[in-house]
Amino acid sequence: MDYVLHILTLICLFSAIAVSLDLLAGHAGLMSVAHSAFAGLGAYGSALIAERLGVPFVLSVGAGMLVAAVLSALVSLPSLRVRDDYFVIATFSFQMVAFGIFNNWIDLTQGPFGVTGIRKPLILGWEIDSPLELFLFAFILAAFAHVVVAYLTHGPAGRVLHAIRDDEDYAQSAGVNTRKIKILIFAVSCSLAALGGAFYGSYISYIEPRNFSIDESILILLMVALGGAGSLFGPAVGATVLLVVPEILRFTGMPSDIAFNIRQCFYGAMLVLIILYWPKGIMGRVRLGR
Amino acid sequence: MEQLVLNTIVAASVYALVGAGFALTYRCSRFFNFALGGLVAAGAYFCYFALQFPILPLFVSFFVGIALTVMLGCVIELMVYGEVGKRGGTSLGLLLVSVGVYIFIQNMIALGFGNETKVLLPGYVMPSARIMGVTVTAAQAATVGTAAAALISLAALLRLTRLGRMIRAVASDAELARIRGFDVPKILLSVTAIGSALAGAAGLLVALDVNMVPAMGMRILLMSIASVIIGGATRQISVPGIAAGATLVAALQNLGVWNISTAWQDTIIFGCLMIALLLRPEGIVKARIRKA
Amino acid sequence: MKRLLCENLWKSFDGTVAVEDVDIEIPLSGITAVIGPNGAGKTTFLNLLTGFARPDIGRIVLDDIETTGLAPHRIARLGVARTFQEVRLAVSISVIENVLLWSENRGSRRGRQGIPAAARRLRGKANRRNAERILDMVGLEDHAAASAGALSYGQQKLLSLACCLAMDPKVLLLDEPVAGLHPEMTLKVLNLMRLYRDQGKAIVFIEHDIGAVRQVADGLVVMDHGRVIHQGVPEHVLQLREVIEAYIA
Repeated sequence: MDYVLHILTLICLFSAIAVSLDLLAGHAGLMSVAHSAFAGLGAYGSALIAERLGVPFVLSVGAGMLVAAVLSALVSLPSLRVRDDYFVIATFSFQMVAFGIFNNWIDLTQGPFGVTGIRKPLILGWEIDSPLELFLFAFILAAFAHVVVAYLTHGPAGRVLHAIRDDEDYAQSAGVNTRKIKILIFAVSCSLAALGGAFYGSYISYIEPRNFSIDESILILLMVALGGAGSLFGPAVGATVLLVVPEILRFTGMPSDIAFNIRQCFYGAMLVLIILYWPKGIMGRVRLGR
Repeated sequence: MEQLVLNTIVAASVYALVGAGFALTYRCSRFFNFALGGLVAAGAYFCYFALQFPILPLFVSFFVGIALTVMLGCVIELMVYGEVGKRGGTSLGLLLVSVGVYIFIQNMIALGFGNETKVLLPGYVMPSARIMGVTVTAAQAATVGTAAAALISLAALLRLTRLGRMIRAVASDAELARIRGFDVPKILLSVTAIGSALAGAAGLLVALDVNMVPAMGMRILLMSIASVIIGGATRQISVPGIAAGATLVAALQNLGVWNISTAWQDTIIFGCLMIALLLRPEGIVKARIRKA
Repeated sequence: MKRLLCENLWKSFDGTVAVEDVDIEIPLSGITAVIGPNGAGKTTFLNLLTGFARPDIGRIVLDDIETTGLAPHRIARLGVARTFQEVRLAVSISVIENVLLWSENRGSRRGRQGIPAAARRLRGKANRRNAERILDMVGLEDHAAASAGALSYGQQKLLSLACCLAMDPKVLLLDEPVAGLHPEMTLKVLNLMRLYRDQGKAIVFIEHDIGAVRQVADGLVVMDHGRVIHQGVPEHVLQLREVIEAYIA
């Protein structure tokens, strides 16, 4: 039962991160492969601020989100002028730089050894530490992320995002300050990812650079692609599939080293096949990569 | 100091080789082909595989390895990118597909040969010579020599041969070339073959000089992309531009090692890549859709 | 009197001069047509007016407000609505959503943006009623919920016009509004233009179809090789030798 709750908790956390990527890539049309880096900024930011400055959980998570939002501007401010595939390369570079910082700034992040002993969430004196409580908290977090995305993708805000995605010149001619909106959405998306990352750190109690590498960013992208970009619950569906299936395969007793490589092969092939033959994924509204 | 210069020249040679391949495919197909990174690793590992058959002389094994890499590159071009093109792929879609291909190749190599770092010729002591106060190994000399030869040949090919003219036509405007009757798919295939050979050779040379590991291609590819972008060769295929960019990137990297710890050198280069990307106006031009 | 003023406008691309020393004054009332052969610089001129291109030299003043070098969205918010030669729309959202987009993002005295929509719930109902009214006016009311991408070319052109109207702009800048349309559609568009003009609004439109120009234009500007070669009333200008020759040449 605890095992099932663990998987469900992970599904909630990854769903939150994936839906925040969909807000950016599916709804606003800004593909990014740096989302795990921003989740990492939230995780490291929150864990380190809580540890070094003794700040309560809620504040440290908030700080992590702020760090992510501010650093997102570092990527978005200079690069939103460029064509979409160049933008992806820029996010690619950012992901590599972030990983480099997680891995090499030993004084700050303890490098490859990671940060251990991250405390469980403590909100208003209530320590959330049973598997059920942790799952419920993760569920609320995921729900929050989905509500934010739902709000931003419907009504007047949704019209603005979709217009920017479909035709930026058209959006500008209608009076939309596309550059400002893109920077804002990028910041919101990255802080939601950071929120997921911060809670992930608190949940597992341990984070290391490998949790926030380019492979993880690709995995999150795959969750969006598989579940379907531009829908509200597509990313959650994708997250569920991509988290549950490897767990099922784990029971076949493959050595973990090989399992990793096989999984990665599948992810690579999946990315190719989805874009080729199934760009809308399971329930998407937008065709990825077309 | 002289060691620094040598390291820079050797690194620049590697980046120039892969960069040339990247610049060719980028100009002709207009997308960032990450599979090229996979082909770098494939070059090293196919050679490793060929070396397992002692009947083959050393250089024949190398030739077989590179040939297999070229075949792999062509298969990817025909079966994957061609398919995407038929369905109306954008440069973004092709980029994502190529990332998927890269991941697949890297992990297939890991499954076939293991994740650990290997040496291409175990037990073999590389002959070396002392030139201008530094020890230069045969592998390093081969790397620089191959890069120089490749770049010169490429420049000659592009300027002087019929194929070169066709490549330049496609690089300049693929639609126009198609309308004028050029067999664009065949030209793209030749470009892929050349690029794969260059990438594979780079992988082989790095494996000879240092070591090999399945993930080796990504880093080299990103450095090469940085070289090409910084050298301005995304605007047009410019061999001097590629060489200049590669030298600059290699120099920055090695200077970084000198002053800052080794671990940070990659991070610095990625930072430079980001900066280079954002300053290059080529990135503002609207994407063209690649057709089969 | 309200006018659109251009002083010494020059614009080149990669060494080719697209707009050369344009110095004119267009009244912001009535319908003014801009004609000229292909490559005369008409669309570049429109892009300069709407901020999609920045003049190398010169200034643009709209109703006493300097708009030179402003970003396109800011010029739009000053009350300049434009269409594009190749129909541009948000194809993944519905017809009425496209219209709502324009009414929600037009400039107000306070200049609010599209995303913090909280305070605008009151305006929301009014916007929707207005959007429905405009769709009625152009004849697209049956397609309000359809995806904009599913419309025919002619319907999309009507939608572009409807979107511009939803902005309630000071001036409508239309790039070839009747190009590629069937005769009935063309008539519909021209009638809408006349209706709009009669309500006191200004329209400036680029067009190749001289027949359409004769039917609706109050004023005429003729361009050739990036320069304005004539400006005046259609009856007079269209008889000038240079104008006829510019078209035949």
